[in-house]
Amino acid sequence: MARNRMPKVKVNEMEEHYAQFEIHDTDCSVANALRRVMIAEVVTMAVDLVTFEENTSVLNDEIIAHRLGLIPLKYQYREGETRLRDDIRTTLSSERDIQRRFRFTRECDCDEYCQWCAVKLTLGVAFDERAKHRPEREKDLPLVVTSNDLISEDNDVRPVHFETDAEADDSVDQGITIVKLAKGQELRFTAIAKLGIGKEHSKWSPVSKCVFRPQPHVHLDDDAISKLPPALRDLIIQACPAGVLGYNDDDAPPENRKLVVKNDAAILDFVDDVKTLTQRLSPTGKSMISAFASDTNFIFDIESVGSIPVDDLVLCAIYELKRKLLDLQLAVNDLKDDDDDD
Amino acid sequence: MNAPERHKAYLLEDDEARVEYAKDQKIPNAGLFTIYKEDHTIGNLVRMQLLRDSDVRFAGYKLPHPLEHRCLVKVQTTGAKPKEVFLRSISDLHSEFDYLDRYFREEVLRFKEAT
Ligand SMILES: [Zn+2]
Repeated sequence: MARNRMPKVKVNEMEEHYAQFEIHDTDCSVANALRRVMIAEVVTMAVDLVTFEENTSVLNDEIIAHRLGLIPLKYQYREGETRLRDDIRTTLSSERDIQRRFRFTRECDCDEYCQWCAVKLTLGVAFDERAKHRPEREKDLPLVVTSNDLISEDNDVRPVHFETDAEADDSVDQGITIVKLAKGQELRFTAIAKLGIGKEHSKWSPVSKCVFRPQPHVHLDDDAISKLPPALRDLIIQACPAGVLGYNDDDAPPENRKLVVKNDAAILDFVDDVKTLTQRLSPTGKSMISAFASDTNFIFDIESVGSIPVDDLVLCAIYELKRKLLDLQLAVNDLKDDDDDD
Repeated sequence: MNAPERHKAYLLEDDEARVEYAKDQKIPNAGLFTIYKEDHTIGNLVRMQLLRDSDVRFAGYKLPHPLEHRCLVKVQTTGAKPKEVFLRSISDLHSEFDYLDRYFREEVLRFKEAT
């Protein structure tokens, strides 16, 4: 078996917050390592320390601090901006990697936090103060404090709430709800956001969904299926949920249509049903479909919480894995030779 | 109150090495690598890659305990030094991810241009 592999990638969908892509010619362990790193070891920023000056809301300090931690913060890379440690970070996966701008507080030479390892966010909302600017009929309604009220001291790092401007326009809310204030209540605090990884706390995890599954190889017995009357072919399609099986050309006359798999990702779940059905329909009792899961090809589905665009997220994960491997390589190289002299 | 610090799961202590190696006293050409502050991510990855090497007779890994943040990788070769084989599989993996990195970038670029 050849030791080296050269995996290929096929992108099916790629948006800022969602992606589906395939990795071909690799191994389950590689796909799983990638998945695990994306969930737990890609570096992001999240609120980690909150100092309350005033909190007369119904939620106590700890709950508000926890909610703040869960608000995704996005780092907006700007061309030509001052970069941190360009010397050792030049191999970093992506221009937009947050580690080009910030370092971990534990690696920083400041005392507590500074502009190179943290971002300060402040919020000050008082119901009575806001009521003056609210329309008359809304004056007594509870006031929703959202992530939009958070003021970041660093223009490069902001709370994210909507995928697109259109979505923001459609929404009733202004952002992610933190707490609701009633008459006389006030909330004032300073929050410090720091770098971290999901392994420490899931608030730093950049994904809300990150799964992979083996790619199915499906074989349909076209000959046998084409001999079936159209009504029975429809029956095969109906054995799966809508959109899993279908015809290659819906407009063609029934006898010219070919049965095809429409949803590669879902077919493995229903192949047994189709198998049993076609065995019954077939005059010889032979099944007309076979499908098995690939050992080498995998389909990834990823949803980002918004702190990192999905394409950067994957690159960051690959970089993190490379860093781990390099680290391990150096450490094994450094091992003393004397316990290996046979 | 007596929960261990969370960063202890992934940060090496000041005096801790990333890897220790112990030659097997009973089996020839075999050894045990202890990788500190690593888990299934690296353990499984390295084991599967070792198994692709024709010089490897046995490769396995385990996490001894969920609260002990180390990963054990056991290797037996057909004659080569376990350490050499281990290094070989790490660099193979590294070049695989290098390749994946480049390919992914190109594919994303192609996809974005097409849409
Ligand atoms: Zn600092």
